[in-house]
Amino acid sequence: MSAPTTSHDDTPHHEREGLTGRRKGPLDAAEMADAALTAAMIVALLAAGRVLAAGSMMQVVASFVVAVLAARRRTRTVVMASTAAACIALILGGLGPVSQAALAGVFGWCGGQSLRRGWGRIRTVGFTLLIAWPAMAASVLFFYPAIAINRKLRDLVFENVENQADGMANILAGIGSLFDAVGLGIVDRALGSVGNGLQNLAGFLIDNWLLLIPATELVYSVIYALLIRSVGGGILRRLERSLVDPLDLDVQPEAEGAPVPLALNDVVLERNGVPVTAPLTLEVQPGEHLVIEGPNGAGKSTLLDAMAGLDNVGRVDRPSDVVGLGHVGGTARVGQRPEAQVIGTTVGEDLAWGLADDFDVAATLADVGLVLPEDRPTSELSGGELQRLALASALRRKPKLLLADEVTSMLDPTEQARIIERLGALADATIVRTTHRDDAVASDRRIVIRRAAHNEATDDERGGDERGADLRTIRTNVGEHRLIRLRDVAYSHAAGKPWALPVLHDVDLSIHRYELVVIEGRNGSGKTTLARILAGLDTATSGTVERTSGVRRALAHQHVRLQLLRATVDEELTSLAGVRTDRELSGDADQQARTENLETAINLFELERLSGRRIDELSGGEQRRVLLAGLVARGVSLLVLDEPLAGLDAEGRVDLARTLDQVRLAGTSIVVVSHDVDWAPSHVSQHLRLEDGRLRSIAPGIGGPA
Amino acid sequence: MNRSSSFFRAIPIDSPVHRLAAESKVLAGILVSIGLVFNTEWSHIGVAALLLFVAFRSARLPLSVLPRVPLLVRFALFGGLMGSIFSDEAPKVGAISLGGLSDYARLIAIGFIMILWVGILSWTTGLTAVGFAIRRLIRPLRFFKVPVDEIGSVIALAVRSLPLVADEIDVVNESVTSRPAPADHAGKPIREAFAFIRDTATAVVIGSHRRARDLSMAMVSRGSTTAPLPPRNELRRIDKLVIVGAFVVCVAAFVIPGVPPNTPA
Repeated sequence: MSAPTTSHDDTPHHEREGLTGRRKGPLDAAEMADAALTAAMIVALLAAGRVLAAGSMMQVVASFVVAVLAARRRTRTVVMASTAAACIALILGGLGPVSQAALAGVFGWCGGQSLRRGWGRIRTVGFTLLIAWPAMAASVLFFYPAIAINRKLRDLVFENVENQADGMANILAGIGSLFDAVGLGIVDRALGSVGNGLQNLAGFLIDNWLLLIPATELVYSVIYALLIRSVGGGILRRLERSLVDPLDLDVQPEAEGAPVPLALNDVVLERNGVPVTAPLTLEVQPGEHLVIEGPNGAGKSTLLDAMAGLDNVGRVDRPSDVVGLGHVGGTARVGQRPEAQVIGTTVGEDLAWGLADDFDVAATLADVGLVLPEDRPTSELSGGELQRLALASALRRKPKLLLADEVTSMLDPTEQARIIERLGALADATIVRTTHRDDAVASDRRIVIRRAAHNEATDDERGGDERGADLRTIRTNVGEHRLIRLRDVAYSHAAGKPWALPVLHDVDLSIHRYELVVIEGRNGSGKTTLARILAGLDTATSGTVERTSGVRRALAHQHVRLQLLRATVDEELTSLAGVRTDRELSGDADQQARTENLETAINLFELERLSGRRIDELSGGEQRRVLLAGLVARGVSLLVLDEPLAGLDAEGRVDLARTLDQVRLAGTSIVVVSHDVDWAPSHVSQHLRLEDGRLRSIAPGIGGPA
Repeated sequence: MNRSSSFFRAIPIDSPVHRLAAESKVLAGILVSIGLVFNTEWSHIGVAALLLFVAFRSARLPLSVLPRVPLLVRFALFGGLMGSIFSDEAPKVGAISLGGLSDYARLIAIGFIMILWVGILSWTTGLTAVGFAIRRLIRPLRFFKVPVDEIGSVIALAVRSLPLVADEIDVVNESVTSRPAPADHAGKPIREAFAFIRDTATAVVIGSHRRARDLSMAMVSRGSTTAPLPPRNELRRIDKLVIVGAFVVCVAAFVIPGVPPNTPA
């Protein structure tokens, strides 16, 4: 990443040409990743369109996505993304989705040029008509459904159009004669002329199809161009404001020397132009095993990325000046989120990525304690399996320097110990790893890094502002004490089909007002399904779910960011709470209650401080507070949190417990679903464990307010 | 569950159709569809429907895999049916037009057969296998200087990311639809629809940009942006038979005149 860029709305887009223009040749790593994700989005959107029977609307949305890519990257990236999407779209429904994907690419590219160069409406429409309109018309006439060259289909369609017009005219005439019989001849004549009109219109369509099809596509093209310009522009501005600059990243050359020793001399590491660490001084010698500890946001991952030469390039001193990332005998890196580390579509493909040798898949997997078939799709693996697979790929490179970022976070204690032991046995390699658990072995050198000064200030400010002991209940209209009761609930995926997969059995659970219920379970124990049933997003296959009338439920997903949709904290809170900001309704009683609820929630969750900030500037904990405050203000009385603990350090957990206390002060009950077994906040009313789809109690439920 | 990611999961049973190479299924589907869509006579529709039935039965798929027709589409189908029944197309029995019904049935049958062909492909073949098959099928294009390795790598990475992105879209979708109606647009449906689309698209794009960043770092960490060649897949005799058979059917559809012939418009 190069110089920090702070984007403002008035930055003309063409100033970004540095990344988009001039370069020739194959895509680099960053372009390749953008192309692949765009292709995946196109296909996923078209698939969603199939499910919702709204294919052409999703084609428009897909072209927004391409426009954003085309505004930031060179044309080759767009071509690759659209081609790949068109190829994969075959599985969604043959040639129709293929042409939709390709056309989304063409329209998106045109829109992207307009966004990048800041064109006005007229130029945008003109350019789109020049490029995309012929493509669209040609696709309909010659590719799918190939009206121009497929005479038989054309005849059949026209035959049907004519029949429909005649049939409708006949039906109208029939209805008209009924009116005529009761003396309303005028209705009869009116309906008759509507019928005639339909028949004439059909005749006109059939006689002039070769003109009318391109004319229709012309109208569509103009609408598309204007939509892409306005909506695509909006997305692009949000993206630029969310501090995500296009990355400039490519594969490093093969190493001719060793990546260690290395040193940092009083260096402040940055991410997106913002300093994230205090000044660091550190030396790493060959053969050392280093464990780096520190709170979330202290810059552990940034430090590892800097050592890998991915970020903060030039701040790490090396006598050899080579990193050799990903090459045999160079540096190997395993990053934090497991699903992001595995890039092959199958286990075998992932292990082979980047290395052209013959190797024994089973033995390589056994080395990290895995037993998996070579052709198993990686999308079916659990987090722990993904982590070990990524580690196996790293070990296969026989690295001189291994950088491992929280690589055991999803493993059981036994597997974790095994991996730590395996790493410890790599006597020749230098290992630098981060951890949030206390799992360093005696021979490891431990380093603790602290947060940068400006981060600490924020923390102090919050810590000093301790309050919230008084009860400020949000008004809801739930009278009863018990909110929800599950009796003999069972759930199967694909219920009723021969391949049905039972997930939950005999689940009995009651949740009362003010309760905090913790449900723990390993991956695959059915806990996400239970969370979705409790939140009302999935329906139980059998058993009963009794819900007290008026209870509103909501699910907070693990990735909070996906649930926040607006640009700023204030907009987000108003939208979540359903408060209208237009004046004419300010007298409305219901609106007043909502506004009051929102004020109470803002107060309770201590969000005044964040007023006016952008969502993307907030920390993960702050984003979660905004989401929960908004949901509480909406009047949600049962809040289900799916895996809120993932990736949180001790301090983050304390912060979470505090936020949950605030939720309960507002009178909302909470269910926390987690794979973490060693988390027990105070005031837990029911502590349950989900094993093989069955729920059992760990601590007796006391029920009611704690 | 109508989560969109379920589109990309094959039904986990075993059958001769499941065991066919993905290439054969992709090619056979395209060839039969082309043969049908260019030759819309009843005889050809009948043959295509028969082939479809045989494929469906030998895939051991239960009827319950068939997707439900959305309500809106049902209404449209019903309206079309009414129009056809009362049209003037001969032959007619009283007020009912058999000719109109026949034309309508042909059009609808073609549509359903095309959708079900693709359905059989997706119910019996995992997304990963289809990805490999497409990458193998485009490889010959390298003789025309098409950068097949680059396209293949993008396809592989897109296939890898697709279930993750589809899940993200579902989360965003749930989050948008569970919100109270956008506050300031109540009573203004067009602006509301716009706000809906913009919010959804923005959240999805921002989410996947983070993924793209992670993905590029992961690729650089492997020292290569090029996906390994897809595993070799020797076509078995049955696969070759299916491809040749589909090709023969497709050619025959064009050569053999259909009965009854199309009535000119």
